Amino acid sequence: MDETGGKGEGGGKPVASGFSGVLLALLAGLFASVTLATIVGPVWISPLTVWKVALHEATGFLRPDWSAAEGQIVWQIRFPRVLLAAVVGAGLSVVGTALQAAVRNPLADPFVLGGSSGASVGAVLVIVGGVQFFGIYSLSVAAFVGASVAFVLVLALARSPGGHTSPLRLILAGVAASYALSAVTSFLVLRADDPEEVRSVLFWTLGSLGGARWEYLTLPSAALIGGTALLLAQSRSLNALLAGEETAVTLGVETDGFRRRLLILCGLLTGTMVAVSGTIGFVGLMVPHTVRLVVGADHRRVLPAAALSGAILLVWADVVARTAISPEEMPVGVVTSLAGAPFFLWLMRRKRGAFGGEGG
Amino acid sequence: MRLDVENIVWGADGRKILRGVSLEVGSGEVVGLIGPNGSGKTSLLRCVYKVLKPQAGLISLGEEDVLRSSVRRMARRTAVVPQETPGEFDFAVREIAAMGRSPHKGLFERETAEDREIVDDSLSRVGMLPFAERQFSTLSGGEKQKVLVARALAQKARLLVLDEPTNHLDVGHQLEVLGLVRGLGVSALAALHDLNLAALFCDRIYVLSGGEVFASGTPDEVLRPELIERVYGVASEVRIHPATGKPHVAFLPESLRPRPGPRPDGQEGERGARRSGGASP
Repeated sequence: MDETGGKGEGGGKPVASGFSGVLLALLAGLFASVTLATIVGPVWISPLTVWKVALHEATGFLRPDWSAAEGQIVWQIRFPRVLLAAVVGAGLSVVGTALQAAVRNPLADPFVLGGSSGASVGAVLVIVGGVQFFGIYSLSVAAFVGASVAFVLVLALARSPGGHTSPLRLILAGVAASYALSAVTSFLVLRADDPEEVRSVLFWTLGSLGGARWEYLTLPSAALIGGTALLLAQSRSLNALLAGEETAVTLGVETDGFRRRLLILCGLLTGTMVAVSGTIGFVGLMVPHTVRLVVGADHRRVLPAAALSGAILLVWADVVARTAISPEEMPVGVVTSLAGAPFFLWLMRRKRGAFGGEGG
Repeated sequence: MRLDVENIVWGADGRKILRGVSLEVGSGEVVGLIGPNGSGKTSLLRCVYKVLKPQAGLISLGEEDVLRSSVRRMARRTAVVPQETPGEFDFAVREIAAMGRSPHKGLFERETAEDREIVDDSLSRVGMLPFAERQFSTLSGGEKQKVLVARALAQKARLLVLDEPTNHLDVGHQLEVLGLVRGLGVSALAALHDLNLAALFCDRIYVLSGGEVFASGTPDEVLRPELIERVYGVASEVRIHPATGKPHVAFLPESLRPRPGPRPDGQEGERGARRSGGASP
């Protein structure tokens, strides 16, 4: 469909055709990652069995030639977990991409606007405070509500008297809200009597996919697909926003309204992801940057590439989290942050000029 | 397309920046906006391209009420070459130019062959097609400016607004960029610092001072030593240059000031003709 533009010059990379290659490679990578991640564990399962089980469970085809235990492990334990990792990784990366454009700041990630600390307050209220309105879903619901409340709060605080919502105000309001909400979390945790509760809180705030079940997949998947489609539809406006505030206006983007809608969408997506996985750091920060290095800054390419890369990354991070110190589990956020921090420093050194100050 | 600005008032934080500015740009006319820093040039342009909302006044482009129509609608008619350039996030040159198509595209609409043709054509008109795949940040100031002009061209607008388009450019690029704008045949409104460039490339000039139009007219009507003295507080000589046929301003440093005195009084028109050599008493 995309020929490289008419009078294409020699030197550069052939953008359009190169990109379909990148997408295909990422899709293949995701498929392979999901397969491999399902194989790995205390009991190893052959790749063929993995997909035979999946096909059987999903469509009813095939006569089982695997043990009931294998079927159970693949379909009830590993598959939901691996898929949830993929969905959450993709979701966080997509949100990170959009938020970096929305606040026009390379340091933005899904949690820059207070989402993680808000969700933590919700989670702690459930774990320590024993708030249980929604049975087994209490934790998820509380995290979602916490993240959303924090988001709304930040949006309201960032609004200037004139009704403008500038990127800098948003970030500052987000930082302030994060501090305040973290203080609430710390206070609640310190008041906890049971050390086991403290451990659960810590584990939750570092992110974990251990609680994955099929029921947890529906909503995040729907949110991911819907959200990504909406963002893709707006990719021209996202590009314009990245190019500059005034530029966006002169290119026909009504920036205030667009940014507000964008932030609400990102807030909902973040809340949904956090509700099923806790707060997994760094994925939403580093995936968009890495992807831009490969496919450029155009959101029509960055968004799908970031979704796929984020999915692959989190699938593998979760494999490390559950195998590195098995039979114990690590919070997956520890893995992403340990890998993320060095990456981030590298990025900073690479873009020395840009992060220093003026940058234009 | 004809632009009419009537009595625009705009201010922020209790300070009036524009105090009832009126100007017009005729169809196909290139109009320069000059004036010292803080005189309101940029604010006026921002009102025209809808980043600022004037507190009073009227702006119309053709039959259209600029202040009442949507940002998107106006972006199809007015293209802007701004001062700011994309910062932290790096786009390829072609991607920057292609942004000019975005006000014309719907949500899920793909880039068509026609769009690509327009983008390529715009880039080649500014001589930047060979740089199409380069990263914008790797370009020189002049090249960047030309790419931004290409983006404005790709927008296919009927009015071009330029805010100090020659800032940071060397002489060659200054002449090139303004010559390009001149040759497009669209109406253009440009804020300019360099009075000689304004004289060379503008059909008419408006002088802003303290948020008001101080004077307006053709370059040789406006660019006079007494006006330059009053608006900029600088002594100068103005001659009609034999080669260009346009006024040429030479600024005089304090030491060469024709007659040491705070204000010119009652000797309009004379000063420009006086030779600076015989100035000291």
